[in-house]
Formats: sequence, C-alpha cells, structure tokens
Amino acid sequence: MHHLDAEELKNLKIFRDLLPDEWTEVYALLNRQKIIEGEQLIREGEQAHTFFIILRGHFMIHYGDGRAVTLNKKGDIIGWSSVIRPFQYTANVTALTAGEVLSIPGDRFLELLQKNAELGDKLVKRVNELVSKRQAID
Amino acid sequence: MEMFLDFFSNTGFALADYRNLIMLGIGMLFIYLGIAKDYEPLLLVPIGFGILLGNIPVFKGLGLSIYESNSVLHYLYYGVTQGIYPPLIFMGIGAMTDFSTLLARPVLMLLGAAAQTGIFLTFLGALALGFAPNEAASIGIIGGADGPTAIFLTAKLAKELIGPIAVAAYSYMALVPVIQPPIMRLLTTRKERLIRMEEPRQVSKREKLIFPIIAVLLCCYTAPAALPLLGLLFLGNLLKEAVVTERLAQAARTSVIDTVTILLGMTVGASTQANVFLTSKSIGIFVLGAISFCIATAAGLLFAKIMNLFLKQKINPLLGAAGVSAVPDSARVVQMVGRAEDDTNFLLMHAMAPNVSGVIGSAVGAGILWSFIVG
Amino acid sequence: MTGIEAILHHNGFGMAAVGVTIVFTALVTLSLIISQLHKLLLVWEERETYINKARRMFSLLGPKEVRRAKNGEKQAKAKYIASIKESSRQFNILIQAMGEPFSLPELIRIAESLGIESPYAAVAHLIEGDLIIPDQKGFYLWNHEAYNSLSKRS
Repeated sequence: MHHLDAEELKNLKIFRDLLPDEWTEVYALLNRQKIIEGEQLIREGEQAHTFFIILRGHFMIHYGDGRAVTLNKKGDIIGWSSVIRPFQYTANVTALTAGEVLSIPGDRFLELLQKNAELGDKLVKRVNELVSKRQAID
Repeated sequence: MEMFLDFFSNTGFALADYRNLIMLGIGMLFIYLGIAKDYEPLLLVPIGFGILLGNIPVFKGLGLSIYESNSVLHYLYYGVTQGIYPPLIFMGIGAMTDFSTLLARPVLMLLGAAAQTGIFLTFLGALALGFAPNEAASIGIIGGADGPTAIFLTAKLAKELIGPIAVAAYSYMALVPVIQPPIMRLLTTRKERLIRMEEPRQVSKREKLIFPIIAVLLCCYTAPAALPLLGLLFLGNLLKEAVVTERLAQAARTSVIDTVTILLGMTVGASTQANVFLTSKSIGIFVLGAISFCIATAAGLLFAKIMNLFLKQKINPLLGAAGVSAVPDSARVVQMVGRAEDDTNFLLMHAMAPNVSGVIGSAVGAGILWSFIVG
Repeated sequence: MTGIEAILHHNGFGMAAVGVTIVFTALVTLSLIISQLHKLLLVWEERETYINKARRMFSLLGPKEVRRAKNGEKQAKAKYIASIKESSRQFNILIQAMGEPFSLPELIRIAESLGIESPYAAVAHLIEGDLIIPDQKGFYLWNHEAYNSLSKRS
C-alpha cells in the first residue's frame, strides 16, 4: 500500500482515537484494494477471513431472502464476521460501482486485538458504533 | 588410582595455568559490571560468560575449543570471523533508530564526522608503535566506539586480534559515562555548557522515508566497502519508517538483533583464550583504544567549538562528544553533563543527531580503511 | 620499524588524510542533501500550484482553454443527467413490472438478464439520486415523485 496516505487513513472514524504506536501496528495490517463494478467481495456462508473498510464506492450487502442494504460512506465497515465467531460471513457483499477498500485479514486483526487489549477495546467500540448506525433491516 | 590420576590430569583443574585464572577474573568482572553496575549488560554479560567458556582448558582434538575447526563454538564464531553478525546488528540498530533529529538539523552531522578523526589519528599512532597497517586500522576503529564496526573491520583485516579489539571496544563503550565527562568538562567552558539548543523543526514522514535511500546510495557510492554495514543499517531504518513493513522492523530490532548479540558476545568472549589474549599486543591495543576513544571525544568537542565561530545560532559543544557512535550512551552522557550545569537544559534529543551520524561516520571510516589496506 | 619512519613507510599520513577527507565529504554531502530535502518535498507537494503558475506564465491556459474546460464540465453534467434519465426510464418500467417493495439484488439480476448497460452502477446512481429509496425493512421503493420531476427536466 502506498505509505504516504497514512495520514488520510488515520482520519477514518475507526482509527481516529488510536495513539501513534497503536496506529503503527494497525496500519501494518491494512491493504488497499481496488474493486470493479459488480465484483462480489463476500459470499454468505463462506469462511470469513477478511473484513473491509470502504474508502470509495457504493456497496450492497444482500441476503439470500432478497433483503439488502447499501453502504457508500468512507469508513463504513463490511465483513465484520471475520472477527466474530463462528467466523462465517452472514451476507453477500457486491460492489455496485467501482471503488476502493481497505482489506484487513481477520486473523491478524484478532491477534493484534489479543495482544493489545486496550487497542482492541477502542476498535471494537468504534466498530460497534459504526455498525449500529447502519440502516436497520431486521 | 592410576586411572583417577589420568582422569585428573585431563581436567581443567590440571590443565589451567595462571593466565586462565586471570581471564576468568576478567570474565567475572564483566558479568559483575553488567549485572551489578548495569554497564551495557546486554553486551558485557554474554561476553563475560563467553570469556569463562573460552578459558576452560580443554583437550585439543576433541572439537571443543573455539579455535578447533570442528567445534560448535567455532561454527558460531564463523559469524564473527566472516563479518556476518555486525551487519545484522546494524540492521537492528537501523530499525530502532529515529533519524529525525538529524534530518531536522543536518549540520550536526559534521560532529559525527569530526569524531571519526580519532580513528585515523590512532591508526597513525598504532603504525608508529610498530603495528602492521592491517592491525593499526583495526585498533584505530576502536575510537569509533562502535563494537560491531570494530569487529567487522578486524574480521576483515586482522582476525587474530578480534578478541582483544572487541573486548576493548565494548569495554570502552560500557565505560562511556566514566571516560567522556572529564574530557567534556576539560574542553568546554561553563558558559558553553549552558548553551541551549533551538527546538528542532518537525520532520515529515516523507523525509524520513527518503533519507535511508539517499543515505545508503550516497555513502556506499562514496565508500563502497561500507556497504555491508550501511546497507543493512539503512534497510533496517527503511523497514521502520515504511510502517507497512512494521513486522519486519519489529523482528530486526528484537529477535534478530538479540539473537545475534548473544552469539556475537558469547563467541567473542570465548575467543579470548588466555594464550591468545594475554599478550603484549593486547596491552598495546587497550592503551591505544583508550587513546583513540579520548581523541574521538575531544575531536567532536573541538569541532563543535570551531563550528560555533561561524554559526549564528550557537550549538552546545557538548554535543560534539556524542559524535562517537556509542548509541545512545554518549548522547545520554551529553544530557547528564549538560544537566549538571542547568537541570532545565535538555540536550538528549539534540545529541542523538551527532550520535547517529557517528554510526554512519564510523562505518564509512571502516569501509575506507578496509579498502585502503586490502586495495 | 617504529615511529615516523613506520608511518611514512606505510604511507600512513596519506591514508589518514584521505580517510578523514572522505568521511567528511560523505557526511557533508549527505547533510547538504538532507538540509534541502524538505524544501524539495515542499515543491513536490505544491507541484500543482507551481505547474499552474508556470502555465499562466507561458499563457498555455488562455481564456479559450478555460472556456473549453468549463464547457467540458457542463457537458459531463448534462451527459450524467441524460444517462440517469435513461436508466431511470428503464428501471421505472422494470420496477412497475416487479411490484413494490422490491428486492434490490433481484432488480439488478433482472436488469442484467435484460441486457441493461452497467446495471450495478445504474442502481447505485438511482439510490444516490434518491430515485430508489429503502423501506427500512431490507427492501426498496421507487420514488415516483422524484422520477416525475426528473422526467420534466430538460
């Protein structure tokens, strides 16, 4: 990943509270990934290994029963199941437009959270805030 | 009874002579200084223990001594004699060093260069005392106050002197807080020691990222023989600054450097067997090493004073003493001496600039001496 | 051999002088470069400004070009409205056939099967333009009001 955009990424809501040392550790896990229109990022039921943070683009989270919700805000999170037992994706995610995401390997992210409880607490709180603000469809 | 006597005659008790006992005493002193006095414990403890190992007299032919080609210690010592360990240590140093103070005030780099004068003056002194040029170069480098660099150059030029030179270099590095302050006080006035340094400017991430690349290219193009040391030093630094390679930087500054330090310290210690260490040459090395170290400190201090003649914003000449590359000990000594005069004057951060440039300078110096002697 | 004689014999003075000079040269050059580095980076970061300044200086971007660029922007906007109008017309028909509320993935699937161009991006644009709105239960509604006002726009 291009190192020079570290500052820009640090401003994402999920990372904003991190101390410099914590940020350094988290930053090492981030991979920037370009997505094309119609690309399926996540399949329901598959083993969840990665979660994503939206940088650009419009994404649709959709379920087998036809329900769907769309996300297009920078900093929105997709695929959080990769860090929650039983580590299985609970929905499909498809890119509606071309875009860009940060992908983070769930296992390495968990390792980091386990190593640094305070950091884990901060991030999980932030993620919960972000996820709970989503459009409720249940 | 005869069997018992036979066995006894092969034990260390029967084979040892008084010189082994002297070396055991030195080894224990190192361990004591490291543990009880906290003088460079990470170096002195493995070296001290290595000295104990090296001075247990053993049967020749069993493959036990470090100098026997089929011994375990010999294989571990290979990293020293081939100059493998020092660059790896440099990689670790690079991965833990923040060059931003240097980037903020590049002019302080000259102090790191000035302190290397000690290397070359001692080189002349050693030649005058009758040492061969390769030995004189290895002795001179002690003034760089950089253990890995001293070992690296000696491994390339005068393998037989590795033991005494490494022990001398590390001893003087450990004794920085004892050796440097009197010289610093002698060569500076109180008024000079009270000089406060200007706050350094903020250094951007981009600068820190570009620095290792520019530095390695420039230094190694100028002195190609410094490549093994500086190449890995700046690789380590790039890994640190790149952030995305944090895992590698973390490995370099912890597991890699720690493992190598243990192996290097222990084998260097074990190479100081009484019959190869306790010679008149070793005494000469220790004396010249001390002189070299003092000259390097003085050169840095005096150069800072000379610079002050031309600079509008004066620098505290104590910083010159940090030009010897014992990182970060000599910078800490600068802070200590500065605070003794004014306890609100914080020089540590500023002293890191000549300190890290001393590391670069001594590696360049070693490279130059190597190419002169071999070339 | 000892003393000055030994030093002279091994060309010690020469080696020491050249050695010190090289160490100084390397570090002085490095310090000069890094003392200018942040200025160069500043120029790099502000490159757009400098390029524009240079362009203005050489009148590369005359009034004609500025007009042309502005016209370009206008044209792109008009093109976008035209395309969203076209896709809204197609999706309006499709959604009427499907009934409301409808499933978004199902809509895209049908649009794709009918050969509508870039159905994913078209749906995203319609959501961004508030023509497709969520019913808060996971399904979606067609915003007839917004569609009618868009159709009336020239």
